[in-house]
Amino acid sequence: MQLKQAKQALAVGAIILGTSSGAFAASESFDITATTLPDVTLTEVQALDYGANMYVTAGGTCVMDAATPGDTAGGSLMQYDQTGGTVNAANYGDLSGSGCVNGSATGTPGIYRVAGLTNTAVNVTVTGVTGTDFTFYPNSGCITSYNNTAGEDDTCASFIPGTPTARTLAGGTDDGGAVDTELMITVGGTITVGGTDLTANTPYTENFTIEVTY
Amino acid sequence: MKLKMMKKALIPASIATAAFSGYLNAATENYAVGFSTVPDITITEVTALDFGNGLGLASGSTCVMVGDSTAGTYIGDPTMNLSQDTPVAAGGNHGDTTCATGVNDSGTVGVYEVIGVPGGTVSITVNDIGSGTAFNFTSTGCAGNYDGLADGDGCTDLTSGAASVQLAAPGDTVGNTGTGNPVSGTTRISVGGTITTQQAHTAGTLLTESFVIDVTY
Repeated sequence: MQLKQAKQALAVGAIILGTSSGAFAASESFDITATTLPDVTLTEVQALDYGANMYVTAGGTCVMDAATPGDTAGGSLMQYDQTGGTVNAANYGDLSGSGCVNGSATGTPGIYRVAGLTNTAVNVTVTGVTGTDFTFYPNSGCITSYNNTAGEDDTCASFIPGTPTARTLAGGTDDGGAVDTELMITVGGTITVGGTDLTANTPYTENFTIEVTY
Repeated sequence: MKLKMMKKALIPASIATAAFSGYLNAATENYAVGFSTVPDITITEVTALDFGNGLGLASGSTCVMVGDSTAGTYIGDPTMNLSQDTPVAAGGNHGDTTCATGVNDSGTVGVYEVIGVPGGTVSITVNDIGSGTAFNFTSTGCAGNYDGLADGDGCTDLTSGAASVQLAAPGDTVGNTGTGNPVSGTTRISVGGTITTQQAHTAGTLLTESFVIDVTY
């Protein structure tokens, strides 16, 4: 009788052992997070304006020089520290060509700010416009580029109208006028009056496009 | 069981990565490019052209009055609003006429002001009178030419009545050491020349013809 009771106790113990073996497991869910790139934004800092300098004659051309805006140390709005020391503007905004007052007249090159993710590559495309009264081809200007390093090591190099140009937004370590997450574009170029004479003393405007992608 | 859970966890992560890399953030903006056309040109008479009182009565009589920058007869920088590197005053014989009758007189060189866009280049043509009733006219003269800077101005002589010059710009109006005072957006033309009567005229008669000055950008 006592032996029978002992067997029964062992059987209960085996059941308990079997139960505790099945509890060694857990299932939990955990979050995975990621943040999408911040929107890249474009802001006009200075409007592109050839001034009251255009002659009315059909087919006349006028070129605004925007190739060398100078760097921040040179007094420019272009927010960069040019390689090789202070760079002053050279012929920036000067007008030339048979279709406009030139020699003494200047226009105002356009300046535009791109903002996005720090120290990140972007492609910038500046495209002209064929309008009713005139065409605009942005074949003078430059786009800044940075390397997230302090010192006089930024650049502002030309671009090809209508073609994406790779540049790098400023990083937190860039200095000398550079602003983290930003780069600058300056635009001049060629105005060509259309096939009909314009009207004297009259303003004319068209829109051109700047596109920026990561 | 653990392997199954890992698979479940990996699937959302890979989907998320693929989704993020599949989109390119972009910004596209349109910006204005603009200008204004230059204002119309205006021409005003400052001093009327007058050959004085020496013209002969017979048809074919002539009188000459030099109107260009020739030394001694030039009308002078102050009248022309020019600041030359070497200032030139009015010549002692400016306005003098030389008439075929030998009866010479002091006439008045014509002066005309052109107003346009500062610094603009203009083409000037002083047209002759080839079939006048009272007389014909062939011009001589000069037009102020500016460089956009202090001093350095000049009076460009007309060639066959024509010249291309630059209007004064703001930079022409400051820092000058010359005797004339440039006015931004303007230039002046001095005009003399030769008149030849086309018929006999009565003594003491005022004869008048009109000539045309064309100015274009």
